[in-house]
Amino acid sequence: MVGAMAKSVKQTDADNIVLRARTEAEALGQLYELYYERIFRFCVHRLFSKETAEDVTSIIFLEVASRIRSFGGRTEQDFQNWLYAIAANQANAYIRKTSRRKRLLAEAAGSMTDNTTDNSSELNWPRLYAAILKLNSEHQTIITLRFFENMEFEQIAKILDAREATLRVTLHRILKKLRRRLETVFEGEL
Amino acid sequence: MFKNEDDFKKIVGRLNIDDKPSPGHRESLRRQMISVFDKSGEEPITKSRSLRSTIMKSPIPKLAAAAAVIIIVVIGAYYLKPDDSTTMVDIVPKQPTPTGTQLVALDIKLPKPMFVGTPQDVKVEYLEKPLGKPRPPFYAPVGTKNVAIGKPVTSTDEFPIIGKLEWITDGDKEGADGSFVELGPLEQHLTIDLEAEYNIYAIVVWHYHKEPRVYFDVVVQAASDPDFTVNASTVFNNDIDNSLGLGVGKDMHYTETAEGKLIDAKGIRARHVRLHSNGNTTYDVNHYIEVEVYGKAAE
Repeated sequence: MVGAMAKSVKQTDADNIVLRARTEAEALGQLYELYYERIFRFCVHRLFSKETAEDVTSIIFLEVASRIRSFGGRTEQDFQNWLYAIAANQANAYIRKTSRRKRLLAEAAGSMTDNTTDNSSELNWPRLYAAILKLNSEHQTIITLRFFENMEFEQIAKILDAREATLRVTLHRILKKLRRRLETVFEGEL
Repeated sequence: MFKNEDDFKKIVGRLNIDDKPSPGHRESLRRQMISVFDKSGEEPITKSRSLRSTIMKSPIPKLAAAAAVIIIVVIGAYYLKPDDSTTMVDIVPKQPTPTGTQLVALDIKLPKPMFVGTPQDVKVEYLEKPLGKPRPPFYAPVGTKNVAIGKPVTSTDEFPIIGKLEWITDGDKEGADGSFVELGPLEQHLTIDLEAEYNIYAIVVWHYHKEPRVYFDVVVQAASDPDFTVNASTVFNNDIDNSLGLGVGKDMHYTETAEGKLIDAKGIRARHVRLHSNGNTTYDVNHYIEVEVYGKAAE
C-alpha cells in the first residue's frame, strides 16, 4: 500500500515536470536527464552506429525543445509517447535514403567480419541488425520498441498511432519474416 | 533460431550492444536544447497567421476573393463544360474542348494502400460514401504535369512536430512513418509556392492513409500572390460550419485513402496553393504526406 502510494506521488511529480517543461527550462532539463539515455539507446538500436545515433538524438531533443511549448499532453506518459513518436520518425527519416541505409548495412557487415570471437551459431548484433534493416521502416520500429525498449503493445500502439490488435498480428508476421531472413541471409548477401 | 516472441526476447537480451552515450555529447546537447527552448519563447505568434487574420478582417480582400471566385467559375464552366449534367470529376470530356484543347488522362502514381477494403464509415456529418472502386481517370490538357514537385512549402506551423515541410512536395506518397509531416493541433495551413503562374487543373492531397480517417475543415485555395489577395479562389471547402471563417463549405467530408483526394481546380490561374485543415477524427493534429498540383505554364 505504502509502495503504491509512493509510486503515485512519484508519478504526480513527473507529470508536474512535464507541465512545467512548457515554460521552464529547468523542468525541460529534468525531462532531458530522464530520457536522454533511453532515446540515445533507441537510436543506436535503430541506426547501429553510435555516431549517427548521436546526430539523430540531437535532432530529436532539439525538436522537442522547439515544440514543447505547444505540446498538448498532461502526463509523463503522454510526453513519453510523444517523444518516442518523434524519435521513431526521425530515425525513419534518416534511413529513408537508400545511400544511408546501404552505409549502415556495410557498417554492420564490417562489424561481423571484424568480430573474430563471434560464435556463428549464436545470433550476434550486427547480423540481427542487418536483417532488421531489411524490413520496412515501420516494422523496424515495432521490433525496436517491443524487444529493445521492452514496451507493451498498448504503448507502441499509441506511439505509432495504430491499433493494438493489428500490432500483435503484424509483429507475429514480422518475426516470421525475420526468422526466414536470418535463416537464409548471411554476409555474402549484404 | 528463435521459435516465438519469448525466444526472440531472450536472444535480444543476450546481445552485446555498445549503446553507452558519451558524456560530452550529453552535456553539449543539453546546452543547445536549453538555448533552442529559450529562443522559442521569444518568438511571436507565426507571422502568416496574424497576417491572414489582418487580411480577412478587411472587407476589400473578401470582396475581391468573391469576385475572383465568380469570374473563375464562369471561365471554368466555359473551358470545362461537361457533355451531360453529372459531376465534373467523373465526366471531364475526353474530346477536344470548345477551344480545341486536347485532353488526356492524368498519370497519377498511387502509393501502396496501408489498409485493405472499403473504409468503414466514420461518424462524421455530411460524409462522402466510399466509391468502392478505383477513382475514374481525370482528364486535363496535354502537357499537364505535377508542378508542385520540389517546390517550397511554408506553414503556420514552421517547425512541424514530426517530419519536414519539404516532404510534402518530395514525391513520396507512402503512408509509412518517415513520410508524413505532422503539423500542430487545430487550425493549420500550408502554402506551396509554384514559383510561376500555372493553369491548375487538379490538386491531389494525401493527408494520411495509414488508417481511414476524416480531416476537418479542408479548404484549398489558390492565388497569384502569397497574401492571397490577387486572383484568389477557393477550389475546395468542406468547412460546413465556417469554423475557419473562410466561408461556409459546400463540399463533403471524405475518408482518407491511398488514392488521395483529387480536387478539380478547373484550370484556374495561380502561383500559390494553400491547404487548410483543422484536426481529424482521431487527433487534433494535422498531417500531410504529399500534395500534387497538376498544371501547365500559364498562357
